[in-house]
Amino acid sequence: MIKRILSLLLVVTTFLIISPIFVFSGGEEEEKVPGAVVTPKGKVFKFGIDADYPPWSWYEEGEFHGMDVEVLKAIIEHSGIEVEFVALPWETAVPALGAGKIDLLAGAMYLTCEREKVIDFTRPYFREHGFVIVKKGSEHNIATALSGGSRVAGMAGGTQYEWLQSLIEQNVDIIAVPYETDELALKDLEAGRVDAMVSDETVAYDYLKQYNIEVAGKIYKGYSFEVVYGVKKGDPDNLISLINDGLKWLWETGKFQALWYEIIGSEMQPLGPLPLERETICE
Amino acid sequence: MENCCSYYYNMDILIKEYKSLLTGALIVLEVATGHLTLGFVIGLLLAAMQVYGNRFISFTAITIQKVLRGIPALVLLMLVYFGLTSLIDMSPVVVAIIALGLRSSAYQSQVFRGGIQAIESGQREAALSIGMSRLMTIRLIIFPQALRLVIGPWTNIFTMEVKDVSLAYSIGVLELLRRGRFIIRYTHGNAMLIYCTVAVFYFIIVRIGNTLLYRLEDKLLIPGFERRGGKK
Amino acid sequence: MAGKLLIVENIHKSYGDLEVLKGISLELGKGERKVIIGPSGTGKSTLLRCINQLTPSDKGKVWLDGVEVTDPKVQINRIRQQVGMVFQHFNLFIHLTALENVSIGLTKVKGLPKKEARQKAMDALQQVGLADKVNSYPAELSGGQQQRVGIARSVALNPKLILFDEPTSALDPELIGEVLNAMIKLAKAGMTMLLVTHEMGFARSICNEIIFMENGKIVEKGPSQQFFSNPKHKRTQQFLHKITELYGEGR
Repeated sequence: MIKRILSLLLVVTTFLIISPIFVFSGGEEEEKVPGAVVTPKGKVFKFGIDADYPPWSWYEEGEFHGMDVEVLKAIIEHSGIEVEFVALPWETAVPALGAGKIDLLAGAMYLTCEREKVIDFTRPYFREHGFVIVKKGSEHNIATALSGGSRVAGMAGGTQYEWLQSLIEQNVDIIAVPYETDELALKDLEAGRVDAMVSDETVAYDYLKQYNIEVAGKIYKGYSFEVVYGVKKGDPDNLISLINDGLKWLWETGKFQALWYEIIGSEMQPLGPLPLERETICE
Repeated sequence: MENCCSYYYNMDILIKEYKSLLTGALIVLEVATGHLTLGFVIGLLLAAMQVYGNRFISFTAITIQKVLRGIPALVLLMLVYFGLTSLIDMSPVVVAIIALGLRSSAYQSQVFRGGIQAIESGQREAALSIGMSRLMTIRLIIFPQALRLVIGPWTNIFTMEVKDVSLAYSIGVLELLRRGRFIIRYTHGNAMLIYCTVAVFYFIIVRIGNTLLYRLEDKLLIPGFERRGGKK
Repeated sequence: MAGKLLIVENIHKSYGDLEVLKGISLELGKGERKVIIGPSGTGKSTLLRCINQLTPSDKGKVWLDGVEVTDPKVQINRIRQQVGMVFQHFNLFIHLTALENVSIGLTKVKGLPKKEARQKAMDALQQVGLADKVNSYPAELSGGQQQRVGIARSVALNPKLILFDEPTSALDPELIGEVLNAMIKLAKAGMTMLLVTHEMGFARSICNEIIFMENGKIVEKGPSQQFFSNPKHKRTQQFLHKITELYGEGR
């Protein structure tokens, strides 16, 4: 009896260890987008998506969706390369890009000085600004929300919270409250536990529909970022030019705008591929 | 904004996403079974090394266990993901199975060692005295007895480790919890509903596993010996 | 020395600084039965275990039927098949039935076919009077029954000699009798036996020679009758006196 259990176990182990390689191929969604032309290298690129940031990227019904995703899909089809989408959480995705585990990273990626040091970027295709959000009916305006000991929420580890901290360093009288996710921050905002919140424009429009909030103001200087796709430092596969060309083509054919209005909505205007204004954004 | 009543209206979210969630549950099962089995095989090896090996072998086994037990599962996942995959390319599911399996082996080997050492030396002496080789003794006398002692604690390990599978999200395994969070993210809500569903799934998996193990234990019970505490 | 079944020559054994056996020598011919008596802790059990090398000896040699047991090149498992051992705490395999306990040596060690092994096991159990308990597990048996299974387990392998390590010391007084009877039967059948026991009356009745050990050395040995009636050493006298006081003369 024991013998049978043992041999069964052995068979099951071997099977289970070997099968995932073939069957599931990663547990990630294998979206091989067929191209018109197969690249001469025959390489299958891995695009990492942080599917946690609608409207740029999300995961619905077993598939990746979002502006970033659709733009990439269109470019992929147009250029004929073979791509596999991989879902990685942000903390793992950035080092994974650096280590070459993925070839490209997408997901509302902002061009910042520190990031620029370790990865290369495509042209930006949008400029994101910050919104200061308050509870609907709050007496705060943009000035009072960011002064007088106001409690301001921002996503921990993200550009929002960093900006709040930089404000404090410049002696602005606020208390910066970090939150693991925007949802938790919004709940507290509605409950009155924080007075205001910093969020990015594109996602804020989504929040406005779901939560009892309103916009106190839009930040231009100090909190504004170019949105890009990140590639491995050195860009060994020349993905940057491929993406940049693709972006240009999408804009010129109007497909970019169409996707924009469909996914992001018409509250904001699409900007299309932007030139990078300076050699480096580090000061 | 959520209040209790909004579940009922949002049940259709579950209907819409049931396939994704189910796939997630299956992936949990896959990783769980894989890594527990890997942990079982390596754990058995480590236990044997520790109990029957000479000083050097035993010391190696103990050190390996200490290291694997001392590192958080998340860290181990990262180490295997960034480290091992640079040598051989493997899918995140395999990485998860390896990393979690290695860690599990450290805990499992403790349990196995306890089982082996709980068996009286007299059993070994008697086996040797009738002419059995060391290997035969282990295979026919020690191991069958140890197995019965070990099932109880192993069920504990199983229960704990199934839940660790959710950590595999960090390397890109789209298991149940991660998929649930994705849904919450893009629907900007349904947190209670989704988390309840995920909890139910995990509970079912753990429950079924436990029941099977209890059945196995009952089947292997040695007549005349005490049953596991409490259960009739 | 030739012709003797068991020859033990100058066995020494130490545990760390403590020397437990300080040069023990004895012989056992085929069909002979000898008993070793002495105070606890004098190394009697250790001596038995050195004979089948369950405890390896530090110095000295053991021969079984002309084969040197203590030779490191020898296949000790083969030797052990020919030397039976009955333990103070029975040491039955708790996960096997009485029948399986007896037959496992036959099937796995001797390699007999299942049917034949089963038959032999049944016979052995019948010999010790446990034909009705063949499918019971050790936990379901009394101490005396367990020990009898232990005896059957050794006997079934057809050994050249059987070592008994205080076989009745762990038994309730009421159960000792059945085990002693089984051993008497064995003796009558001509088995070569080396016993360690406190059962003086029994030892006297079935053994040819008594060996008195103390502090790791043999103090005195001699044929049974003479030993009890006329012990030479003072220490022997003292010990026998004490023992018969506790355990009685005859049974």
